[in-house]
Amino acid sequence: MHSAFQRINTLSAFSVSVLTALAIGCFLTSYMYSPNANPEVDVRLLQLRTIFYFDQSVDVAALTFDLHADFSSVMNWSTHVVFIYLTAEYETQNNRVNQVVVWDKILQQGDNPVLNYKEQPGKYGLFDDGTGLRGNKNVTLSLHWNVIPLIGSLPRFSGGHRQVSFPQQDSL
Amino acid sequence: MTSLFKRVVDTVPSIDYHGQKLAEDLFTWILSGSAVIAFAVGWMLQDFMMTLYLSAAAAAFCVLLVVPPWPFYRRHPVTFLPPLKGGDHGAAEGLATTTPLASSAPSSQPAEGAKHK
Repeated sequence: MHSAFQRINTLSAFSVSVLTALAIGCFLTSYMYSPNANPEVDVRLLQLRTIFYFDQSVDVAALTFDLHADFSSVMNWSTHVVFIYLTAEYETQNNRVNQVVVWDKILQQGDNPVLNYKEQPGKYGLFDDGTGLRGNKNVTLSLHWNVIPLIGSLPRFSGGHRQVSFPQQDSL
Repeated sequence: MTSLFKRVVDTVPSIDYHGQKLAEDLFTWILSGSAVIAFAVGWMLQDFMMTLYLSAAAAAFCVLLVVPPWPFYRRHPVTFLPPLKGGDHGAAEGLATTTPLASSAPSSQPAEGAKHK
C-alpha cells in the first residue's frame, strides 16, 4: 500500500505534467496574436564629423529622432520583455552591409506600451569604420523589436524604415 | 540510521487500497480541473503568472488533501487470515484475503501482514 512519501512523489510528478501542459498551452496561444507595432520613425541629422581614431579617419554622426509606436498588441500574457532598437543600415565601398545600433529600449510587462518620442537623441554614436557616411545617399533607419516570451518562440520584427542622405560637408 | 527512519515512517498509518484509488482520483481531477480554470483566468487577465500561482495553490491544496493518511482513506482495511501453525511451511501459499480491489496486489507476505493485525 502506498506510503505518504509515495503519494508525495506521484503528486509532484503529476503536477509537473500539468505545468508542462499549461506551458504548451501558453506557447500555442502566443501564435494567436499579431504583434504589429506600426512604428513611425523620423530622423534628423545633428552632426557629422570625421575624427581620427588611432591612425584612421572615421565618420561619426549624431542623430535625433521622432518615434511613435504602439506596442500594446505585442505585449500579451506570455510576453516577458520586448527589446526595441533603432539601427542605421547603409552600404559602403568596403562593406555591403553596415548595421549600427543608435538607440535601444527594454519594454517590460507593465510599462506603458505606447512610445512617443520627440527630438530624442540617439544613445550611441553612429560610427563608421571609415569615411563611408560622408555623402552617403542611402542610410536607412529602421526600428527592430525582439519579443522575449515567458514560454515560446523568440520572434524578431522590424518596421518604420526611413531613408536619409548624409551631406558631403561637416554639419554641426 | 535506516532503521530509525523506517521506525519513524512506520508510525504513520498506511491507507488501504480503496483509499489509495480515492487519493489518486482526487488529485488527478482537482489538479486537471484547476489547471483548466487557471488557464482561463490567466487568459482573461492576460497574466500567465496568475495561471502559475493558481495551479501552485491547487497543488498545495492537493498535498494537504492527499498526503496525510486521513480517516476517509482507511475505511476498507485489509483483513488477513490468522497465521498457520507449523512455522514457515505453507507460508508461501496465498493466504491473505483482501477486499476485491486488492485482488491484483501481491499477497505473498502473510507473515508481515499478520503484524498489522
